[in-house]
Amino acid sequence: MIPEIVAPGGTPAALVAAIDAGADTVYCGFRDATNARNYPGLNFTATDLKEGIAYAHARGRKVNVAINTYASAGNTRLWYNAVDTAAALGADAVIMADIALLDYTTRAHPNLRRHLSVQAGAATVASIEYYYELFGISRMILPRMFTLDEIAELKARAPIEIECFIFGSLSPMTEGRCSLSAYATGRSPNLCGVCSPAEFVRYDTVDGELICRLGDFAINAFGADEAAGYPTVCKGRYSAGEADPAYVFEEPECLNAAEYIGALRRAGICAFKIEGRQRGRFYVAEVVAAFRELIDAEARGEALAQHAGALERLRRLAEGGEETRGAYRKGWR
Amino acid sequence: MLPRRTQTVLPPGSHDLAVSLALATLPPPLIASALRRMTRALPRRYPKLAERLAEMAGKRLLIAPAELPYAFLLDFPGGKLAISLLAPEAAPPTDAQLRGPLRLFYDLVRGGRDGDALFFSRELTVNGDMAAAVTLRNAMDGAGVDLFAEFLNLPGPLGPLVRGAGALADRCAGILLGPLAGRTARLEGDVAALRGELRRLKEAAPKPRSRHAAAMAEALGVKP
Repeated sequence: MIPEIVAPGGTPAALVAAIDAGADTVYCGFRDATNARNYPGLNFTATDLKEGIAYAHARGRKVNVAINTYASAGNTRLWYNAVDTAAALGADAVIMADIALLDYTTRAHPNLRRHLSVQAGAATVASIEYYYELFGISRMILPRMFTLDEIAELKARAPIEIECFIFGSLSPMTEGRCSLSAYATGRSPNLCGVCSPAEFVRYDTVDGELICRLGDFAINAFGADEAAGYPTVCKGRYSAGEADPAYVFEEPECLNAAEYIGALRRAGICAFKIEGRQRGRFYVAEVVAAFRELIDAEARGEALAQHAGALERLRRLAEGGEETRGAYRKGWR
Repeated sequence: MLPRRTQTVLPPGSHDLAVSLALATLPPPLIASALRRMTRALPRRYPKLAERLAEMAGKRLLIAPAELPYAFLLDFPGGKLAISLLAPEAAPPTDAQLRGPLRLFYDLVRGGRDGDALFFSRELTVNGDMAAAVTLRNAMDGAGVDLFAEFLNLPGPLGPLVRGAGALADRCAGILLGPLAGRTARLEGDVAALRGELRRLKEAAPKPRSRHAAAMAEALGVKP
């Protein structure tokens, strides 16, 4: 079976671009704190989602709705309403992390597919079994911390479908538990849906250097010819003692696991997820088209080297202009 | 209504070149007048755009293409886009400033390049309030608005004139540059393959230890 391509739909135009480029499924979220990409100008109203689902279903594709932040105390209704709306509009699945929300959905919408968000940080067979037994999840999206061998072993023991990331920005491998953004700005992806909220970010060019500030902190300075990255604390450069400033968490680079398409498919991965709901329609169209070509080619038994053009198109979109194979091959552990 | 497909269909012709020529050579008052007519029509043509731009009320952005003698000042009264022209040195204080080659803005506005990738590669410079810049990008991109197509499709003589110039430029370019295109494509493929090979070699090689790590190892008496 060829794994499906699950593409980001940050806006209605990106959803259309993804479907047109060959995505099997698009994931998107509402314009509020219920999804982990709550950035200004992005996301879907209920009307947008209704139209997006109609567009996808008319072409035999699916739309999954990410409601994957943690509900705030005293205001759980916003999250429950989001699930009700997604169900009423005919979403194919909802992606969640919060156990209260998983519980609500299991009871209120037992026929709606429930996917476990990467934000849940379920990283052991025992935790996956827990979510499966209590909330009947159909699929989990794997945190970006496993090697290929670990994924194969996990799939053999886990009773559900597994979706994994194939391309896009990386976070510091503590998904759903990272508090760096909250430390610097008071807002986090886990509770507010935003990492490094744009209103706290400033870039200023000083003597040819691009200075990046987040809240009260200067987190990076890029030389005139140096590629820049996202303004997140984890991608900042810091001085420790007298050492030169360095990337102590991770470098600004982009996961590209194209060369593992075959290995992941053989391990039983059912879906490849592309990160990037904060990116524009061009990024979505380019990345989906490239992976459509590469995944179909792998299924036909063709070598990746025969598709150098698609790989080059991906490289041009990489954060910091650099690619990495992430944790799939942990040579550094 | 969902946005139209990924790229708004324009009639054939090198519109980027033609639009660049038009913007660089036509009298600024003529361009300003055309822009006013275009932005007035936007809320009717893209009803959801104003909704997405609502957060921009009170913000002011400057877009300064490198090749033009003037810059575009963007205001958002009531969430509606208004564009005026001015000399870059005469610009009032703005929340954010975007600078880069005209061709880059052409591609960006048409949904033909990725804004984040252009920013990473430093081709596009964004200074100031990122929330304003990001909101504008997301709103325009998300509604599938192609301002250049709107500009070229305005009623009146301007659109046909520029479109005609684009078609002519295409014919000339085809005659002059056609034979080079195939060769360039082959070279690009070769470079991509070499780059992939280099990346594999780089990842296979052990990473050099940092000065700090080496000093730490020495202090602890650990063999490097």
